[in-house]
Amino acid sequence: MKVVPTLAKGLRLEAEDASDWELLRYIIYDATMASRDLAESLNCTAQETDAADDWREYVMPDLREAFQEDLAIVAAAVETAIHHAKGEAGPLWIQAEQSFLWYSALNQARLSIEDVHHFATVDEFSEDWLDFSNSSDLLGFFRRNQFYGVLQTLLLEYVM
Amino acid sequence: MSEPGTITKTRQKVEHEVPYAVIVHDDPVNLMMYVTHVLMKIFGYQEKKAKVLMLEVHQLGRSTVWAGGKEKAEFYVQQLHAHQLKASLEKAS
Repeated sequence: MKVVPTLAKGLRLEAEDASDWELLRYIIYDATMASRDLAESLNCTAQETDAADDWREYVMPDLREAFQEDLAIVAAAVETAIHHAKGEAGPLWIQAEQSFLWYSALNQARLSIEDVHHFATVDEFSEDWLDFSNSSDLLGFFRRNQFYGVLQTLLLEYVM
Repeated sequence: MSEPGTITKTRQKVEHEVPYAVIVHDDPVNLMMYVTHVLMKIFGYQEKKAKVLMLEVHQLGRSTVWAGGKEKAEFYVQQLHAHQLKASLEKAS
């Protein structure tokens, strides 16, 4: 896959084959695989107060809805691009005004992967460093996590 | 009305609003560049100030990024959560 900044301050993702489209489909899969509630996990305020109850009742539902909407829009954009390209090589544009929701979807995927695999907190110089030799699944998660991070960096540098 | 020769003293009690602090907490996933970007976007900080606060979050685990009235502090925490940053509201000491 190639990622190219556009003159309209967006990004163009150029899928080169079906496996690149699968990689983009994985954003949604990875973002939704962990069982934790993102809206809940972001809240670090003391939980035993009345204010915390109000927060749970009034604020968190809106956050959950917004996060799910971001994923739904990204999923639709990916499926539309795959349809136009007939599953083969083809482009997917991320417009400047959609950059935040793409960033959000990628972040949800990385947060979810981190919840399950803790890549960011493993010391790469320790003996416990990840052993991919027996798990292609783990390697897949690791590589996708890296890809999502690179895409986020490009969004920050060229679009947002 | 006061009697002649008496002095009336009026004591006015003014209650100041307790200031609240908006705290951003470190997490292992959010990119440093993104945290800086969000602090600039939400609070209107210059890049230099946003970077100092971001580094404080990264190195100390948390940083007070704003302090003031409760209602506005709640709004800011909600905005930070909407940008997927861990944040909390505390009574400022």
